[in-house]
Amino acid sequence: MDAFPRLQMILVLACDRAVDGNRVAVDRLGKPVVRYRFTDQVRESLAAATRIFFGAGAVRVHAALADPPVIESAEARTLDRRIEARHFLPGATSISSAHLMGGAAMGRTAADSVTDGFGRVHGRPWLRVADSCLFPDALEINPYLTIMALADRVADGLLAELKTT
Amino acid sequence: MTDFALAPDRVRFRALARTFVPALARSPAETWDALESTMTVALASRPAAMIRQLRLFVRMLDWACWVRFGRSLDQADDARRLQLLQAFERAPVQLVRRGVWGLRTLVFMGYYTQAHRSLPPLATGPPLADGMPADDGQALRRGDRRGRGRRRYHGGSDGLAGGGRTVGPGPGTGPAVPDHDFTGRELDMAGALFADGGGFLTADGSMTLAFGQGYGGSTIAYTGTSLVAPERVIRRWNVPGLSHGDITTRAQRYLGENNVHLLPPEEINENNRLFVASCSRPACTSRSSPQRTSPVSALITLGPWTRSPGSR
Repeated sequence: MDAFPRLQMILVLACDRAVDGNRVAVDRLGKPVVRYRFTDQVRESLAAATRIFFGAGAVRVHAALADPPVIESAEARTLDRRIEARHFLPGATSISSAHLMGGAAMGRTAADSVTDGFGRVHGRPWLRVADSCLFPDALEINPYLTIMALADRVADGLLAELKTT
Repeated sequence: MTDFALAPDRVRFRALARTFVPALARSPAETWDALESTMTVALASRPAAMIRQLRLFVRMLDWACWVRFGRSLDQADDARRLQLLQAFERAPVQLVRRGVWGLRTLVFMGYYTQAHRSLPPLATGPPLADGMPADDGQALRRGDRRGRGRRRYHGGSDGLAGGGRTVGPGPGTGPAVPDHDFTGRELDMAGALFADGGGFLTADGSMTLAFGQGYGGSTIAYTGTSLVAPERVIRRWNVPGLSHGDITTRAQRYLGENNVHLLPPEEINENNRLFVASCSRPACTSRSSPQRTSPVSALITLGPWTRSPGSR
């Protein structure tokens, strides 16, 4: 507790890309089922974050991918030996997300996407999507503003369509 | 509570819960009742098979405790129970690890969603009436040790709000959240706004997700941190007709409507100033985050549904 005033809890933004197999489905009860698997890039980004913390002057880092998890700055040069992919155990390593993206991605045609640039579902022009499902890939930042901007754009598209009909 | 799925195993379950959250050992009956109620609600929508698995898992832990220590879960001391759970948490079989994760998630959900009611203090000493630090944290920031032992903090009360999210009056599971249900506080409204109260598990149980449920999807939750999409990302998306300029113009309007602004330097606390100063070293770069200086959690990106024939 002596070090408490110098403790910083940092959530690491591990930005992963759209991957086949990561998807949302619906079970027999109509509940969402999210299938997601961690990629090497996510694991590597967690290890890279530890290097950044030491680079920024941390004297001690609690790293999820190290065993034991506490690494002192004197060990910073041997991080590769301390942080290994085998320590990453899905179901044991605490990882959470509040920023789901994609699932009904925008694009050109039904061959490469679900919706067009105004959130219209390909082949179902009366059906629109207006949230982070539209993202074709990771945004790399917090998504709130872009979600609202895209929802605004979808609404404008709908309004324009109504005016012409 | 008769509906509680683990009622037949309550003694074993409570021993495990006390290991996950040691403060529960000093909690009154009302805290346990509220914890079990929250878990009951969370489990109500789960398949019966999953609830059977949960019961079986608790009994399996009890059996393992007998084998390893010659005592049941409730008879074993905290250190032994912790040792047992840590062993299961690192088991080679993911299903076993998932069991620990799921059970712990339920206990955390049941306990920490009571954050603004009657949590016992982490620090020992006379409890304070409002549950907030006695001096608004000023002494702690100064490194003043004299005040230790009399400040009260809720260790997990920031958990759900870690991303700086606030709750907007958007639609929940129905067409709209009635005015009397709207509190503006995420913890209060989590049950209505987030799937499984924000503790939704991925299919393999390896990660928890907090996402808005209801009409409006992700637009019903305001994440607080307001950053404009990078141009390189919009260019990479390569969506016909979608330009970075269009996104920026619309985003700027929302920035204005929400009064998003950078904090003046004197209002940034010492911890964040230290962080920025450290990040100014050659190893990395940093910048202030508009509206709230807030970290961000992992982003996950789902592949378009259309890439897999037959998926819905």
